[in-house]
Amino acid sequence: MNAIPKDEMTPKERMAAFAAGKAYDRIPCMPLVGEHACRLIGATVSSYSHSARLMAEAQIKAFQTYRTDSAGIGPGLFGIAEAMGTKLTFPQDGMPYVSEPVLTDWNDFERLAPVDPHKDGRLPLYLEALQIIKDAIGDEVGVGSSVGGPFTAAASIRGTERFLKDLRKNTEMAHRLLKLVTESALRYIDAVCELGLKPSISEPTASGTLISTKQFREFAQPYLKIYADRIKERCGSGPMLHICGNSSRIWPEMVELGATILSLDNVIDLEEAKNMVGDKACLAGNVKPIDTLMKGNREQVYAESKECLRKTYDSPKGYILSSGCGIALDTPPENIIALMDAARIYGKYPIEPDRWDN
Amino acid sequence: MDSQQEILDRLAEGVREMDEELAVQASYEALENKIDALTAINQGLVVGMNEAGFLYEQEEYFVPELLLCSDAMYAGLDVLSPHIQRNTAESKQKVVIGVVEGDTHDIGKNLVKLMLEVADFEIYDLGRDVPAVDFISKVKEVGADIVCLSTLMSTTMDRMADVIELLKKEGLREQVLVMIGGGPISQAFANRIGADAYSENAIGAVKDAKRLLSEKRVAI
Repeated sequence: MNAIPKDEMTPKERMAAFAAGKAYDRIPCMPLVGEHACRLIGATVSSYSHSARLMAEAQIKAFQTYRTDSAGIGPGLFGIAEAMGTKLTFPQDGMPYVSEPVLTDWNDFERLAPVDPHKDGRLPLYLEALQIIKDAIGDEVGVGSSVGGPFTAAASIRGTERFLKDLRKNTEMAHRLLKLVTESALRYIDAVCELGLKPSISEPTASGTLISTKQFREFAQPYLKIYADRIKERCGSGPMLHICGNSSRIWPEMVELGATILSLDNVIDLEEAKNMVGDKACLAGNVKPIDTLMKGNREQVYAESKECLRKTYDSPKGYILSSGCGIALDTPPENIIALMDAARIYGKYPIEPDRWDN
Repeated sequence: MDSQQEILDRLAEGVREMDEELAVQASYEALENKIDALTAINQGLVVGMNEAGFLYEQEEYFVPELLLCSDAMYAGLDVLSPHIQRNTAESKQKVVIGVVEGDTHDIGKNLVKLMLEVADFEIYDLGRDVPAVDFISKVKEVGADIVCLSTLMSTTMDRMADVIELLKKEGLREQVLVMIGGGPISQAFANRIGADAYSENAIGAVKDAKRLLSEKRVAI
């Protein structure tokens, strides 16, 4: 077994060098830890989801355990919709889901209003947790907040099936709703930026698995661009954007709207992504969260990480080793440590592709 | 008066073009013109749905379009179904379908259900967030030929293995085929948990169901 080189920089130093195009010690590594963090402090997902203190404690613990190159917490896929009135169900110890979309009838549209991030839903909890996280580890690592994209939020407000039909049957109302959720999201984005932190965007429902490129261009891209523009204006650079499933058809649009890091699902071939858009955006991905990180072992995590590096280490705008999607709750922490170690061993600069041969 | 074929074409068109009104109007025309309700369904609405499925495979249609075609199809069925002369002697293949426990994403499941209905299977839809034991009791109750399990979330994939384990424990595994599908599912995962088929989409699911049943018949 290879000795595991120690990190020579803090994540914050590494990412600053990465962004500035200066030398750094190893390939950055940002597994999408999310709710898995609550396993590290023995909290259930539902208690974690309702306590700023537990969220912060879990995410701080996750950073200390893994030394990931990003940290933080955010309202994720449903937080904005929830703050606008959609009801979520929180299984005792599983992932929350939308149980009652707030806008099942367009006649109720006028009742909806943009959120106040300091009052509505659980948004204040995220802001409070972010402050605690920043105070604890913000000098070592960039703290961020993942916010659901406009299409995902609108689908959670209407119910996904209804909203998909709206794209054809109620085009005008669909746009009005997208404008409204975008206004809500901007308010949350501003609140995060006020804390001196940078939001990222997750837009799983606008996946190429569900909608066409044309629909993405009409209903997702313009609003995502508004998010990205605001993040760029406030933080100096565009956001990371994660889209689930097959996103290959919309990579040019993702770049065009201002995403600087494309976080890619494990169904994607990183080499193809590098060839198509590697000169326009940094790529992040895409070790399989289930087959490899949850069910695999250290050797399998190493093998797949090497494969990712082989394909993407020379991507012109940079590469970040990451999971292809959110880490599953019951992923063994050893495997996430193995992923980080893969970045330390096989992603150590200067990169020597020979190191990946066995 | 329009010929039978013209009316059947309009039924298909209503479904394929997501035109609910046309599907309903053509369904009434079919009844007025004494077209057998089953013929109107199978040679009209179902043809349209299959054409929609083809357009989906060609990436002309995506999920929003399929959902609207399915609405038009159901609207036509509401008109025609009460007039079907059922041949009760003929027994259909039975499918129990649902989204596994812990997951509530059911768009994919609903599309598979619709396409199987169109292909003349008898469907028992358990809905979403379905505990493993509910699949087993429904399989027993109706004597199902196939169980279809769906999930969109990686966190709930393992519930599919639970259903298969429970089928084994109950001694039912040999008599029922298990088909799985959904975002995070792969052929490798299907192999690992011992499912009979993984289908990438609703159209594939119908092909797989027919293939598996014909193979099973040969085997017996």
